[in-house]
Amino acid sequence: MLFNSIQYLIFLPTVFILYWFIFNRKLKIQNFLLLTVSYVFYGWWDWRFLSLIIFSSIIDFYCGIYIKKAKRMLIKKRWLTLSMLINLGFLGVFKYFNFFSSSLENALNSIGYQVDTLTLNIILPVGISFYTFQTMSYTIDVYRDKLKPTKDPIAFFAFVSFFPQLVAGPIERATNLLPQFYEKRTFDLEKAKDGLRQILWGLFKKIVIADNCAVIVNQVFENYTEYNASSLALGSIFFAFQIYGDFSGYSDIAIGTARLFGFNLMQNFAFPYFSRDIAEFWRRWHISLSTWFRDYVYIPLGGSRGSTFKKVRNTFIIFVVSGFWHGANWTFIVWGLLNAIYFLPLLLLNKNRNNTDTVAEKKVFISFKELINVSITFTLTIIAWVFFRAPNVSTAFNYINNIFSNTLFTMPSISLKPLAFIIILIVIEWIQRHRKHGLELDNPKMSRPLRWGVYYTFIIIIFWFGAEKQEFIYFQF
Amino acid sequence: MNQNNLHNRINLIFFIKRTLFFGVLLLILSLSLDILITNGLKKSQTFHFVDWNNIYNSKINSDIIISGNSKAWHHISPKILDSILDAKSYNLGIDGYDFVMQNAKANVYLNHNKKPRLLIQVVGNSTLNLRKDLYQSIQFKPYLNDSVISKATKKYNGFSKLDYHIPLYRYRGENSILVNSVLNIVGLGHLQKDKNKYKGFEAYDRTWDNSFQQFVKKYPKGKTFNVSEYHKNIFENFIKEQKQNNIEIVLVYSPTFYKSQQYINNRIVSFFKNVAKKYDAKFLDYSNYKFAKNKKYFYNSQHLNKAGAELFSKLLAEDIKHINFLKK
Repeated sequence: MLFNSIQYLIFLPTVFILYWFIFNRKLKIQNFLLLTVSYVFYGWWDWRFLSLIIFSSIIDFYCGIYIKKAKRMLIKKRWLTLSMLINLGFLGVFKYFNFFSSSLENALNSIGYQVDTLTLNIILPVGISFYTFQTMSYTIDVYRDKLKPTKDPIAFFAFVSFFPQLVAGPIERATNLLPQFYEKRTFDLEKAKDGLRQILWGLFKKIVIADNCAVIVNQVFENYTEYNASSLALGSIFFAFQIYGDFSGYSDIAIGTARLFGFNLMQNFAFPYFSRDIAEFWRRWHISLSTWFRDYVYIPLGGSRGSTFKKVRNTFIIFVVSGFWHGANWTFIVWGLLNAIYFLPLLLLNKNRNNTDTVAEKKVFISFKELINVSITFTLTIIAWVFFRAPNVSTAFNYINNIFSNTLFTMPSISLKPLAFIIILIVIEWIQRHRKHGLELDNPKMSRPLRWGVYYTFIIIIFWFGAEKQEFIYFQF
Repeated sequence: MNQNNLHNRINLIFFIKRTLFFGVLLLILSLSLDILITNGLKKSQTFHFVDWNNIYNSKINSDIIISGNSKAWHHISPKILDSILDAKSYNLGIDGYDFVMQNAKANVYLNHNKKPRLLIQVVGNSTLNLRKDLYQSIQFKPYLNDSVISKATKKYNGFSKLDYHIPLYRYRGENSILVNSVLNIVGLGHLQKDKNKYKGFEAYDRTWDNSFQQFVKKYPKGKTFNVSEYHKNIFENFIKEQKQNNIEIVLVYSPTFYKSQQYINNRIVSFFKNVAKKYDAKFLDYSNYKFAKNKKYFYNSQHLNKAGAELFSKLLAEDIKHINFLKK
């Protein structure tokens, strides 16, 4: 079920009413309702994949218990390994098997061995990378003694499959989300109102920004040889906003929805395109994944401590793995590598934590220096996004090569329609950059007619200017 | 229930009431906008809406009605018919459509205007062949509440259920429609008035293009048209009903460039002839008429240009006069 669908428009209020009025007597029953509706939500795509999520939940539920029960570290480690093997095994089979198989075939063929490797005709289950990472965080945290294993299967299964963030995040930590299933949720009016605002903001980003950009981006990337340099440059900028609107829009809807049910999910995006360097960008982009890799991969590897070699190695590992997480394609790996190259100088010069505050803190306008830094960072991310979007690495190189040609300063031949919406987005995000989302209206002086006027304006903009419905990009990951 | 729970409960009910109120206001707002835009469009004299508005506003009330697809729209001039037959005529030809939509347009006409004395139904191979898409769907948007239009448009792929049932949904993203409607609301509709159409007819002052050569290249062995039984039935029922209403009927197979006929593998003539015979209608076949050999009267193999349309309209009017249908 898509967030931007009529089905969801019916599903959400129905679940809300059931949750707060019918199933609100006992916590277990309320959790059971969440579990059931989450499975309905997920099964809407393909009910067969429910078996995977159920199996994964069963394994991790018991692994958690047995890790805790085990007296010896070796046994604990074995249970953890089992959990990792099964979760990563699912990912390996469903997401990466064909990639490894065809890469091996290409490699052997290139050195003269003609082989036909096996490729499987499998569909990638929606959101598999998200929920496997979420459930792995549970067993790792239990292993590290950061979290007590739960004995409540309903709470645990509901935590793994919690519908607002099930298919595209934020990837929640068990330490944050699971305890929320143990406590009786109370309805918080302000939280619910802000949740609805965040949903509206997310829909604006998805339907108006991302979907309008998608129409042009698809044309440009599929026929990039037919466009002049300025169109290609603009096409890549549109893609930067498409992926931002698409993914952060989903996160906003997820967080807003969870708030309606009394849950707090972590912030996943914090106005990343206002970042002044790549390190800041990665603190503001897909925060739940970046911090996941930081806590479960980067820090265990030694993080930024140790020799220069280790720092470089760890940085490359974390970015390549992050790229690979997105999909089984060399384009994502190059995208990761490129970000590692951007990040490394900051790390080695110890400047990776230079910009931990918000841009133009306590000021209305950006300074010239900050503007230059933001522009450079944005340009770097755009170059990386070309690899992310292109169907293969050679196309990405050709695309970038074609941008830097003598038609760069001519008029673009593509529709400029999304520009108006992008400007609206940038202005609003700039004004709201100290807040959690673009429509967080916490000014008590703002009268209700004015607030409602803002909501109606956004609804009309979404309704009138929304493009043809497109799937969320991150569903494929 | 303790104090806290009670407070939460009150907040929850307040939240739901407020959200519902917001939703109701939104519904009223979108319904009002829908009505406003629709009313503006119902005054529009632009290409897509002028004929439909004339029909719905009962402004036609003609003695002769010409029905069909683009071959009616481009080929038969009401001006010429009026002058020769000394009657009022109107062209309801609807570009690109088969008989399902032609039938709908004629029925809408009959529901809102006086009964004509004569119906000229232009027929051809595409009359009985359902197209899949809702071509130029914009023209139907203000009238989706009419059951005739609603039923007919549902036969094609174009509108979703939401277009029919959610206020304003059908107009989303249609900036030209919005401008058109606003101009009509503020009395400036004449700025966009269609100046090329006269009583539904529009002639193209064009010379022969190369689309026929492309057609031949695409179909070197000729094209076979699908004939739908459903179309045959509604066609026959339509003719039967109009005859029962005492409307005289002429079925017209209008001229097509002679060479194109050899690339149509199943020219459908006998069906129309039989229907005409069965219901005491007249069938006039101009497909092989002498000027069908002269490219200067066509802009493509299927359509007459302005000169061809004038010539053909005169010929048709004279034939109708000769048959003496209007005097019956």
